[in-house]
Amino acid sequence: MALTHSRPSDTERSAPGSEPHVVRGSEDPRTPRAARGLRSLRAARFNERLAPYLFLLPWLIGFFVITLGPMLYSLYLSFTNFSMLAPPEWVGIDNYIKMFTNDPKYLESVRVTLVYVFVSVPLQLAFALMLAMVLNRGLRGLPIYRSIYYLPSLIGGSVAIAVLWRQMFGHNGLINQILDVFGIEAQSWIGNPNTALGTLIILNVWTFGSPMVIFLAALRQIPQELYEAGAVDGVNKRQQFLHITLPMLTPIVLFNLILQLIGAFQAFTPAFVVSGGTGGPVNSTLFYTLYLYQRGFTSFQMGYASAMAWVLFVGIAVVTVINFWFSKYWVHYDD
Amino acid sequence: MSWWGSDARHEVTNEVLDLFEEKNPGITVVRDFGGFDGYLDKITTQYTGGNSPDVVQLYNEVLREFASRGQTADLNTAIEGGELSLDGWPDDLVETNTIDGQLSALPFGLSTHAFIFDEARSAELGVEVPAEDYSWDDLKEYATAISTASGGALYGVTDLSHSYQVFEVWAKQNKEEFLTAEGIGFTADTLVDYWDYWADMRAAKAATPPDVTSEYASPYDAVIQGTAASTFLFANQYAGVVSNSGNPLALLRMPGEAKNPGQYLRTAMNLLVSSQSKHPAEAALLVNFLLNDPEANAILGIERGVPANGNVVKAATENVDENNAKAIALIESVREHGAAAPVPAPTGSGTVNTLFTEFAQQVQFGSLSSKDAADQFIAQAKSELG
Repeated sequence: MALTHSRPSDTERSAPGSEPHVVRGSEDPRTPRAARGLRSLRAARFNERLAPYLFLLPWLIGFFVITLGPMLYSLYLSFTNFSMLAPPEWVGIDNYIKMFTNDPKYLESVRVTLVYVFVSVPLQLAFALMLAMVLNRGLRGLPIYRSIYYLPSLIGGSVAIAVLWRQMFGHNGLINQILDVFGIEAQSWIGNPNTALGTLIILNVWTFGSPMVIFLAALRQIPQELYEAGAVDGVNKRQQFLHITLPMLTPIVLFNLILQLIGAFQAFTPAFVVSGGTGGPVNSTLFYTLYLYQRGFTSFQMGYASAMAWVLFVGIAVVTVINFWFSKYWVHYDD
Repeated sequence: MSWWGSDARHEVTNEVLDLFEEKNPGITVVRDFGGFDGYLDKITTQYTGGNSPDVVQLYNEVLREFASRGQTADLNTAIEGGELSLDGWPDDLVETNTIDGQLSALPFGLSTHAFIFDEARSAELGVEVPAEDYSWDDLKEYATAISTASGGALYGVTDLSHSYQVFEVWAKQNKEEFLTAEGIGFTADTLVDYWDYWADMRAAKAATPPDVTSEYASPYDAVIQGTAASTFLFANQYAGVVSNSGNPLALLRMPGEAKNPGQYLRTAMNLLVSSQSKHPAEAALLVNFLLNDPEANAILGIERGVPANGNVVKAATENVDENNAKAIALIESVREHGAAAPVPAPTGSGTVNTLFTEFAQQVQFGSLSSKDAADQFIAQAKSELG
């Protein structure tokens, strides 16, 4: 049963020809409808804008609560004296001052880390590129070789591999048994301050798998026409590599370089395991992160450790920015 | 309750905790146990987050770090409340663990320093293992003889110049201390003598060379693996080392003990009640059970060392095998004739111990003389101890 007093619906009222068109005004019966339409449109737009954030919410909560919050808290802690067992005491920039003026061990750890980063990363990338070139020749069973070479980079950062390294480079280890065959006198590679860091550098170079796989993909992307054109001009292998392959790869080299640099700055496990957590012998494997850990958990100086962490953060950022800035001089983008 | 240890320790501890729950219906003990690696990090982090275990097993080197910051409940409260008894406890042990007037923790097993000698290899090489009252010079003689007789294939002893625990005994034999509550307790000369002693040992090829020394996390690993014929360990580790070595090992006190003993009953580890505990009375009951109950100690045995409470030593040591009996005899000989235990190490001692090792290594590798290293170490240690 129809309600006699019900308001005629908008559609009825605005049906064409149902009533003469009047000048827009306050009595214009269309106004409320227009406003309503606008409102619902706004709501729809708002929903449309909100939806992605709703989907992002789990990650956002994770970022603000689990990442950003603690990071800002550690920034605050870096200006305090915090033993973890008593409330933090504000000391201003004392931690930062001590680091650079009154802590020889800190400077030693910076030195060790820089040597590790700037020796092992270029070597690792060179190795990765070399093997990628070899594998790119299209030999049979390529996927198998690729997997085998990739394997170390999956497990290279693990405790198990670091333990293996201890065994291999010890004075009774595999390396010495091999050298013994050639009549080279045995010594403990991990127990000697002059060679201990070298074994860790070799360990990092050995994890060349992930940059290698990326290089391999990039090599496949280089247009064959370039090589054909080169062949017509009669370039030799070396020129081919220097003037075609390498320039075409530079963006990928930059990508790998930045990724591996960041990783190497943060290396911890190999040094921790190989030196038994000491960074020894005589601090020769005292990575920055290892010293940070010692300050935080052995000396109960979490404030100082936080300050160290922030200096590392800024240090990595600076190195990355410099890399990007320099990249315009050597990276060639194909556009 | 939290503790670290090996599977053998977990087994007996869990068994004792089951017994405790059986005897105290209404109390459930939540157990958190694992290896030693990362244990301190875990406990410290739990403390920071305000959810520390009620009862914590903690080692002596860091006890003061926790106690001086008010993180350990005063056990005197539990004694007054009747949950804990000190009947049968030596006064000096209670004394050493009293920090800022509060009884911060109680020793959960006592041990002491010892020396092991590989009898089988010594016999093969025709070198006699030193007798009971041997001196540091006798050790040098023995070690040199081993290295000479084996043509360098076996070192006489592991270099111990980087071990602050051995140096501590050396200092006490010289009527000094390694660390006191105030800071450094020894003179530079004593340390120089110690490092020079080992430098002579290395020069004579009697002790392991530095690169080999720094490979072993624990010196006794070098004896187990047949790299060295003798080294230092703690008495409660003896039985385990013998079973891993497979060779018969002689167990003696430290060299130089005959004249003026420097060994003492060393707290292998402590048991404390956290000041954050919401159930301090129940926690104290558990501590009391673990430390003073004969039945509990019969199960625990001497895996953590000999009980500090004289009344339960018998229960703990009744059914031990031959090797453990040797270790107990050695610990008891120190109880009879030994030095007083040092106070718990001052705050910052963890860093100082690390520094000791570092400077000793620089002497080992020849980058510093004993004299320079000692002076630099003392200067840096003083600044760390504030």
